[in-house]
Amino acid sequence: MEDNIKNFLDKVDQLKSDNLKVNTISKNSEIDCESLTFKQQKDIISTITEGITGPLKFQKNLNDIIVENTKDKELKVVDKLLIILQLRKDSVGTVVKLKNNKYDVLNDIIEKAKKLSPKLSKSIKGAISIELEVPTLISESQVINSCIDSVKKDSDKEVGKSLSDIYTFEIVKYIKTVSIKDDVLNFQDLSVRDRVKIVNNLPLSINKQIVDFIQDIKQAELDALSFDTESGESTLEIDVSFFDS
Amino acid sequence: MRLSFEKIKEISEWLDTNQEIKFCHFLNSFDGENVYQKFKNILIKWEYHVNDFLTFTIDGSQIKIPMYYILQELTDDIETPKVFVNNIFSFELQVPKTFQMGVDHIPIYDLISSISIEDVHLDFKNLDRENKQSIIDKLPANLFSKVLEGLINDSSKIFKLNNESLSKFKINFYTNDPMLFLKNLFSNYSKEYFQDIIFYLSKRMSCDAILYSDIKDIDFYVKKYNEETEQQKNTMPSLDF
Repeated sequence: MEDNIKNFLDKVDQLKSDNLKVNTISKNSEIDCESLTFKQQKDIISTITEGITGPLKFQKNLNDIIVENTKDKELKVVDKLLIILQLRKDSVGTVVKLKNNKYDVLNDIIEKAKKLSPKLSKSIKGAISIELEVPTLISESQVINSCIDSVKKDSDKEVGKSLSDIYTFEIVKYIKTVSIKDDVLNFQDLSVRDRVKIVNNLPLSINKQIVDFIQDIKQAELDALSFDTESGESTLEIDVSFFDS
Repeated sequence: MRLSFEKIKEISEWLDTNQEIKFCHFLNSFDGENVYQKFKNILIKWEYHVNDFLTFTIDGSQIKIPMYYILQELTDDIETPKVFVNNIFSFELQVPKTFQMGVDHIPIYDLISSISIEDVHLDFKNLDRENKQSIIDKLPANLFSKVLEGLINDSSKIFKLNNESLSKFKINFYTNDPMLFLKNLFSNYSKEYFQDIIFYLSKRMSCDAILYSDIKDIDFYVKKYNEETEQQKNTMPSLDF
């Protein structure tokens, strides 16, 4: 019996690794990717019950799945959308649901997402200079973990505090270095908690420039996710329901 | 398994006090290799010991359906495993082996009897739950969604009656519908019913005899006792002058 199970699981593994190739933005090339497993799909869907940390865990799950299935630790946050769209197409199909209607739009959305070419880095010069860089999925997950801990700690306080935490952590993810004159702080060498302290003390004008950099990337992704419906333009939401067949 | 007055009373108490686990064990103690066979055997026993009819309340009005008709319509097609083939992947679905408590949906691994990928075949029947779960978890989601699709679109495990007024009546054997149906069936008798019967009949019969009887016996004794009482009333000398 054990042999039989092993043979079957070997066959499943072979099947998973045989099939899928996914496009990436940061590498501008196709890479091998194993299909989403039922367990992974279940894990994604289960984040719906996690309250305010649910969306954070959802993002972390997506990162973990991409890294596990592609075996590529260098992939960046900008690769996430395109890979997830392709994984979803492979596992659940191209039809998406919106307000009880079904639309076969995923192929078109994937084609639009393939054309995204976000800036992967930016320098902000001034008394405080900042190097911004789109984070890898792994480093984003690290920050998300800290953010989840922080939000959990604050869960007894008001929701506004949790949202403000999430906003700060989002900025933290994209900072590579902060320099004041000759002093350079490499964010990768600091704990996430220290990075948050520094971001909280940055001048508002710098924060705004960081947010603009992030916003440009997010807005381009949102544009790619838009599609026409009979009641006008809609945007495909990448949330738990997107993976629920 | 006899459905005695005492047993029905005990089950009624379990259901009143949310002891579903006992009810579930009771249902699973009936003969049958799967839920369908057990379900059918329970209805056969119900017809023999409790009532020849089932009463459905549809849109406020009551419809009595003979149990023999329900048993006749409950064909063995329901328990025939259903095979789905999709390119290199095939799987076989069947009704679950046992009733399960506290679930709306039966876990998918209890419905799969075998899976094949190309020439490799895995029989699920003899695997423990842990192994089944870990195999299902490792299946690519696209294959798994084929299993779900097969499950959702398979109407062969849904029991319906060819009666227009009962068009809403459906028991899907892939779900926990059979358990819910039986729960409703066994909830028909209230605590007051058992109190009344014991109080009434114990004037004429021993409590042991009452408890050992089945509901059909009880109905018979109540009828006979009523007739006897009526007859006694009529043979009493009149005090009217």
